[in-house]
Amino acid sequence: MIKRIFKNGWLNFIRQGSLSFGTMFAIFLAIVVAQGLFIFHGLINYSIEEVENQIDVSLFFKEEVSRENISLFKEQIEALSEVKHVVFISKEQAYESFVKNHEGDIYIEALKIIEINPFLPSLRITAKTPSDYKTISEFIDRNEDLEDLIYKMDDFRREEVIEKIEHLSSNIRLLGLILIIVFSFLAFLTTFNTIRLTIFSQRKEIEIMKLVGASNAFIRWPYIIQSIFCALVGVILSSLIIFSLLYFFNDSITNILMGFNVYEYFLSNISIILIGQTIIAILLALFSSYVAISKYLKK
Amino acid sequence: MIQFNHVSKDYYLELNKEAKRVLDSINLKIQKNEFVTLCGKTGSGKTTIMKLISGEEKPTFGEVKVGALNIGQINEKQTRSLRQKIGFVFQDFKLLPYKTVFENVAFALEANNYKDDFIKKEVLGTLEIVNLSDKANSFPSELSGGEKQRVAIARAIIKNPEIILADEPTGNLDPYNTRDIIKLLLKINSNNTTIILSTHNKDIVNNIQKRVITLDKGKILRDEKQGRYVI
Repeated sequence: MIKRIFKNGWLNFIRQGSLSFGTMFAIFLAIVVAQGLFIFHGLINYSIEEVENQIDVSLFFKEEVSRENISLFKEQIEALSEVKHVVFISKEQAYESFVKNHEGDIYIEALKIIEINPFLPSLRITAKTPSDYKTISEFIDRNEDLEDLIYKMDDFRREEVIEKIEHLSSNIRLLGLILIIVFSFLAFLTTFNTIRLTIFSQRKEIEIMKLVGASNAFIRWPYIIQSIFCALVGVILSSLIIFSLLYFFNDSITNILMGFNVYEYFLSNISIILIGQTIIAILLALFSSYVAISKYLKK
Repeated sequence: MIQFNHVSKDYYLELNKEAKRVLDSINLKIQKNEFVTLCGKTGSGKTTIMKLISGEEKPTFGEVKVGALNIGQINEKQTRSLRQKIGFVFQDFKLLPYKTVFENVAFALEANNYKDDFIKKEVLGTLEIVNLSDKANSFPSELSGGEKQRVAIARAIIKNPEIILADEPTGNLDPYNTRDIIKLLLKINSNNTTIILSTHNKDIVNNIQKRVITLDKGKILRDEKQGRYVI
C-alpha cells in the first residue's frame, strides 16, 4: 500500500504539472524568504558586533611600570568573566601603529625629528557585551594598587554612550525578530493558501475516489506525497539559486553589506540551512495538504 | 435486496431555511439481479434514490436498507464497505483526468490492496469486455464520449459489484454509443448484477422491457414489471 501511495504521489507530481508548479513556486518563495531572513539575522548580528567591537577600554600605564607588572594585571583582568579579550600594546607597537596610520602627515616628521617615543604602554580591553564595561570599570576602580601604575584611562566611563549602544542593539535585534516573524508568517500563509487552492481544484477527483471506495488514507497520502515532492524541488531550486548568486556576486554583495561576507556566512551554516529549510518545507507541505484535504474527505 | 420503507428526504436550502422535500414516503423493493429503470422529470427524485442507495445521503424519515446495512445508521467504515459492493456510472463519466484508462480501472482494486499481478490481469480482462484493450494507456482527454463511458463501466464492474447505479449514463452519448452502453449493461445484468438505471431516454426504456419505476415530485407514480416510458 505504501509503495502505491508513493507511486500515485509521484505520478500526480509529474502529471499535474501546472498544479505542482504552483505549489513548488510557493514553497520556493517561502524558502527564499526564509533564507533571506536567515541572512538578515546574520547581518544584524554582524552589524551589532561591529559596533560593539568599536568600544573598548584602553588603559595607559606610566612609563616606569615594568612589563611584568602589566602582565600580572593583564592576567587579573583576563580572569574576569565579563572580559572577551585583552591585548597588550607596547610603547614601540603604539609608535609604529601611529606612524603607519598617519603616514604623510606633517607631525610624523616632527615626531621623527625629536627622536623620542611619547607613547605609553597600554592594555586594550574588550568586554563580552557593552553592559560588561561597567563591571570592568568598577573592578579597576576598586583595585588600589593600580592607582600608582595607571597614567590614564580613556573615555570608556561614558556609560551613557555604552547604554545607548546597548539599547540600540537590543532594539535592532527585536525589530529583526519581529520582521522575521512577520515575513515567516506571510510565507506560511502564501504556501498554505496555494496548497489549499491546489487541493480545492482536485475536490471532484477526491469525491470520485470516495465513491469508488478508497479509504481516506489512500486518497489523502498521495496528495501529501505530491506536496512533499514539490517542497523538495522548491528547496533544491531555491538553494541552488541563492548559492549561485552568492558565489558569483559575493564581492559586490559584501561591499553593499558593509563587509558582511554572506557567502562565507552561508557556507559556515550550510548544514543548518539545508537541514532546517528541508524540514520546514516538508512540514509546511505536510501540514497544509493534510488540513486542506481533510475538508473534502469529511464531506 | 434493496428496501425503502416510507422514505422521505428533505434538503434544506440555506437561503430561506425552508426544507424542500425531494422524496415523499417512498416504499420500494428491488430484488437481487433485477434491472430497474427510474424515469421521471428533472427533480423528481431519481438521483436522490441513487444517493440514498450509495450512502451519499441519509433519509430524513424512514429506512433504507441495502442488504443488511441500514443506510441511516452506517458509519464511515461501513460506507466504504458498501461502496465496494456498488459500481457507479455517471452521465459526466467522472473519470480521474490524470490517470490513464488502465489506472482509472485499476484504482478501485488498488484502493483495496489487491496484488499488482491480480490487478493487471483483471484490468486487462475488463478492458477487453468493454472493448477498450487498445486504449489502456490513453488518458480520458484522448477518448470519445462513448469510450469514456465504457471506461466508467469497466471501473464499475471490475470489483464484481452486487449493484450498479447508472445515473443518466447515455445522457451525453450519440444513439450508436447509447445502444452499445445499454447492451453492455444488459450483459452485466445477465451475470447476476443488479442494475439501477436512471434515464430520460424513451427509446431505451421502451426497448429493454424491464421494470420501470416512474417518479413525480418525489413520489412513485407507477411501478411496472415490463414498463414503458410514460410521463
